[in-house]
Amino acid sequence: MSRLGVFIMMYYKKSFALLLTLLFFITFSFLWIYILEVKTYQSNISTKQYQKIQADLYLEFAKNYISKLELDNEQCINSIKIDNENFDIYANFFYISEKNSCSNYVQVSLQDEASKGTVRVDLYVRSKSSIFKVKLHERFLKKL
Amino acid sequence: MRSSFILLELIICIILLSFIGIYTTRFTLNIYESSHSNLILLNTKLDFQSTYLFIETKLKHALNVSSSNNKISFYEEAIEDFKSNIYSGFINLDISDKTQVLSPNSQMIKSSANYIWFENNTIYEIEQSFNDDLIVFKNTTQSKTIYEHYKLIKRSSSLYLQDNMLFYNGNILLNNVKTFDVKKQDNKLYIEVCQNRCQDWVYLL
Repeated sequence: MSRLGVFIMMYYKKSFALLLTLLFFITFSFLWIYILEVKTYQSNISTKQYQKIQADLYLEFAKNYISKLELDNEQCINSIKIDNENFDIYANFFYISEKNSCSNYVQVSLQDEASKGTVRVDLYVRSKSSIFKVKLHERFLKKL
Repeated sequence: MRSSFILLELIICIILLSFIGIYTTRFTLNIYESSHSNLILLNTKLDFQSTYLFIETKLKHALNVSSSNNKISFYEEAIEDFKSNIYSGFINLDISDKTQVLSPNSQMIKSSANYIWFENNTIYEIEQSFNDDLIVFKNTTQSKTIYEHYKLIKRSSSLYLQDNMLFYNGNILLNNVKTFDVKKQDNKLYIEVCQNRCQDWVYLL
């Protein structure tokens, strides 16, 4: 084989190996992207599910806490906030009673001694995470 | 001598690359297959999960829930109306009787609800109101037990299995459902739902 022939063979061997490597690289990249996508999707769903369960638990906890609160006082509680690292938990109260000293109220005249009116509670639990946004709102009534 | 050595080198290189190629392809295909089946499983799980959440949301605001083998019937609370301040949920019992009840801080004119529910699980039919604070009963002669707190009912709803499909008020909720067994015990609702896989759901009523 002439010198030229050897040169051409060496040149083709190198380009062949390079082409094959590139081909492998591209094929595997696509496959790995697909696999990574599935994995990320899965982990995303798990995190969202976890956040939702956490928010639900905090909502239930706050609801129980509020239902045990003594709201039939002279001084009105207009809102409460529960400190938490991952969630904003707060509640606003709206009074439907004979009280007229609260910030949020509608005054009604109640003659029946058994009834002192009611409080409408708007309870919010909001995730502080900028990626996984969960916001729950529950409205319920509590007898005074 | 030199050219035959290069040829040999080339052959060895191709053989080695082929081996590497075959095994890497097999390995990656295995991962791809497992990942693909994982995705299918994940989608089935997601279908289950979204159906579970849908039923959970519906049952959270459900009243007078009853169940048979593969059917759940309930009344849906008009929660959107409650959250939009259309009704307050509070009745001034002093000014209420069997014909009408007074619900301060309401906008009953805007409400399209047809039923009212009280704490003892009784439901009465109501008429379209022309006064914001008044809820007027349809049957004015019937005696009634009323409470301070009430809820308005949007509609009567049901979840049921028919022709391997799970329906909610006539709309398809989940396809290829083989079993949908419902059991109510105390204040809990147990559901066993099966497609190719099965799941057990428990709801607190």
